[in-house]
Amino acid sequence: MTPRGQSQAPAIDPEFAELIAGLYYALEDNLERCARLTHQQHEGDTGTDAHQRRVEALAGASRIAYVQRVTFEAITRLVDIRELPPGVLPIGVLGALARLAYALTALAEDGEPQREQLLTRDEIAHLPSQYAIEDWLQKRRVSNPSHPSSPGAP
Amino acid sequence: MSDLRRELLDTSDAPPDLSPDLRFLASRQAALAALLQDHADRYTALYTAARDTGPTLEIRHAALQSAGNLATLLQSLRSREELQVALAHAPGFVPTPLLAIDQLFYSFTLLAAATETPDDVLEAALTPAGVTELLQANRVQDWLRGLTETRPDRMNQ
Repeated sequence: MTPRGQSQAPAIDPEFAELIAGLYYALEDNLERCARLTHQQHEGDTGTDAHQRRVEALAGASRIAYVQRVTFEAITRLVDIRELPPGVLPIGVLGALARLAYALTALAEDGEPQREQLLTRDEIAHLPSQYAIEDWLQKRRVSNPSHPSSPGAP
Repeated sequence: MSDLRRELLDTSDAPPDLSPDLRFLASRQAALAALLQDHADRYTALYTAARDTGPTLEIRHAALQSAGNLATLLQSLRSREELQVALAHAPGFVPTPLLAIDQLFYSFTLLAAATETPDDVLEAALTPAGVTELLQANRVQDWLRGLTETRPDRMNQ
């Protein structure tokens, strides 16, 4: 990754692109995880099921925390975000992931999770549109047509 | 719900002449500012203990509880982000530095999930020096100053 203050090519640094991809994969995984564990808790899981739910919820929250921390350090210390092409920074993904992480920590705690800290299943399903993530993804596909996830890519 | 979280979500101390939206915002921001300073100290103590003795069950449990305290307020504030967008151009209004405060929440979460393995995720967590730097960042200091100088109740006057 190119340190701040040194010249940087207009293309996205491959390591930074990997970070962004990591954020997106964490979002995909944890949307599903958060919806499933929220449903399981809502159905009144107990004993081993509740214990496993807490363990999995903490693992999900921890993964989000890791990718968010690494990304934050990169955008504050390593990459000059003013030199990034417009629309590269996944601000919406950061916001949606934060919402999931708050809910997952609630699902990881002992006892009854706090309602204000949880997301409903509708709220979880609505996160990608609320944070304009589909729109961001579409723009990234257009600017990177050779990527395997892009329509028409080989 | 713990007494602390009940207190964090209580809006009864917000100025009564405010609209419900501004009461919500004033109350949540004041609670978050108080929690931030308290939990920054708590994090430093837990992180230092985890480095000294390893991440014991007690340390991880306390870290998860602290992450939950922050998450309670952060989820609530982020669920009404449109309020801060609407106030973005109000004179003296400083938006909550959510991205910065999130870093403390994430660090508590990493501490809660820490293990003894050498490639532990704790390496990505804030260090005590990182916490100090975060609190001294202009965006955070401007926000804390703005809360005492310009309350949301003055935005609609």
